[in-house]
Amino acid sequence: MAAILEIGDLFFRYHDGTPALKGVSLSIQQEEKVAILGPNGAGKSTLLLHFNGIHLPQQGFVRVDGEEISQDNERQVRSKVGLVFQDPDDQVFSATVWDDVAFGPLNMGLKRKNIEERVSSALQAVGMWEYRSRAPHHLSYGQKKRVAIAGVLAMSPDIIVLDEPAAYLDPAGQDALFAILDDLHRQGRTIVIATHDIDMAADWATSIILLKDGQILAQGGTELLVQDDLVGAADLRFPLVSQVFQEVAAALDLPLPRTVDEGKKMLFKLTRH
Amino acid sequence: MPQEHIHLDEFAHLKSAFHRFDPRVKLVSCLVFLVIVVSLKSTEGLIFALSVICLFILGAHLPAVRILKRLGLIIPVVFAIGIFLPFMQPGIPLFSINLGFFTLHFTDQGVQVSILFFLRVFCAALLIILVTYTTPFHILLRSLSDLKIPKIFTHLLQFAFRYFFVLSDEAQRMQRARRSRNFKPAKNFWSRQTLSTFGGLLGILFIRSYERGERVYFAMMSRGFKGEIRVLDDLHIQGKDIALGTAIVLLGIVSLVFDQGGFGWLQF
Ligand SMILES: Nc1ncnc2c1ncn2[C@@H]1O[C@H](COP(=O)(O)OP(=O)(O)OP(=O)(O)O)[C@@H](O)[C@H]1O
Ligand SMILES: [Mg+2]
Repeated sequence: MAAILEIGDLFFRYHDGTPALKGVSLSIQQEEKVAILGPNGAGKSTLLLHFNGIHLPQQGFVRVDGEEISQDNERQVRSKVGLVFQDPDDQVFSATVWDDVAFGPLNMGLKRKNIEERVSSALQAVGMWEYRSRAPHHLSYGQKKRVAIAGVLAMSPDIIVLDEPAAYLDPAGQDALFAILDDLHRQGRTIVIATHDIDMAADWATSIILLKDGQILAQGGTELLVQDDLVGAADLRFPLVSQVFQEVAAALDLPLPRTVDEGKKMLFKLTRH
Repeated sequence: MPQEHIHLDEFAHLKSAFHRFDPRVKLVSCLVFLVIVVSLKSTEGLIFALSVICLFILGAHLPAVRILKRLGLIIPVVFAIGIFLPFMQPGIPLFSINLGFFTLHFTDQGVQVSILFFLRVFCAALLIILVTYTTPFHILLRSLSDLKIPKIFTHLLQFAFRYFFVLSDEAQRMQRARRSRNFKPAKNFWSRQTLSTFGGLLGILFIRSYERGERVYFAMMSRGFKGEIRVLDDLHIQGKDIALGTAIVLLGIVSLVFDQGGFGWLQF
């Protein structure tokens, strides 16, 4: 496995002088499912905007597939890295849902038939096919979010980056979204999300990045989510399952479960005695 | 107070020969017609042109009532100008208004000019409505760029159109936020608190729109936007487009002939 995305000593300051990123270094391997967690204002959205060259590094570097992003190659990078914005109102602008999802594929210069296939499968994947001829600004927020996701799915990029994808989706919509993401992951895509949902991150991610105040606190597996000091420092909390079993696991000296499945197994083990 | 979203493309997806008409031929032929119409100098010519345009509007299945409502937006302005024109034309006075130091003559010739003015404005407005309501906005832009209109102009139009919604949405959202916190403008708009609240809001509205505009642009770039307008529908000019376009231009010429009294021999 090679690092498909590598960031070194990245600094970024907004026009008004807010330092949003202060020396971020991380690396993401191919075919990983990465969750970036951190408090509000930690710099998650700012960081994600560097993944496809929307913001170019003011200091440090971002490498995609071994190639450093610069003004010369930002366009190619954008066809490799698809980004779903935190606020769908920023992203969805066309007159109809269908047109909006077709926007990316059109810019890729694809043939009509191919575009139609991509749009219809992307819209079906997010359950918005019935809304294809509606005006996006008349949809509910969660529906707009689905359209925004479909707009990026239709471009089928190698790396899919989503800022708060599950926020505003109903539970079934969230399950459907993660089913889609897992599907894409099985096809060999790398998936990165920024989220506040610790339980979901513990369950879904293969790699965790903790960000705070524009700096990386830690990068590693989901075990990071049950390390007291880190979780406290990142203003997070333990996954609910871990909270439930915290005392029992400590008393019996068993590994602390982090996902629902692990919790179930532990419960089963304990009650069989 | 749910506000209706103004939607330019509202009628663009109806079906009629005029909707299927190749937008480039449509633009050019209607432009020619427009130029002819505004140069017409007689009521006969203009009435003929107006009836032609009305027939087209009916043929395009555009809802007449809604069109009249939209026309209502320009009527006050046109009316204000139209009411003064009769006074500004020298000629035989129909009646006069004495303002003491100054006498205004409402002249026969002036009324003529005023009627011509009204007819021209309505013809032009209806023609523009006809074209813009039967062509989706992005296709209109694509046609403009096909007709070699400079890119800067089509981009300006495109972003003006998009940010219009951004701006109106933003304003609506801020209004909601204000109302939900019980802001009530004072009876006197010029009271200090009301004025400073509105002033602040306007400033913030501008900044918010600017920043949202920037994020919208980022998102467009993220999906590979390179400053080029692409549309799915390949446009092909067919025989019937040429025929319809020619017909429109010919009707324009016919109204010009009417205008010159060329059909005088038809009158008894
Ligand atoms: N357009 C901007 N101009 C100036 N400062 C900004 C801008 N956008 C974000 N910031 C600041 O940069 C910092 C990082 O913001 P960012 O949006 O990346 O946080 P985040 O981790 O995505 O937060 P959240 O969880 O709330 O989405 C914050 O301090 C924020 O106030
Ligand atoms: Mg964010």
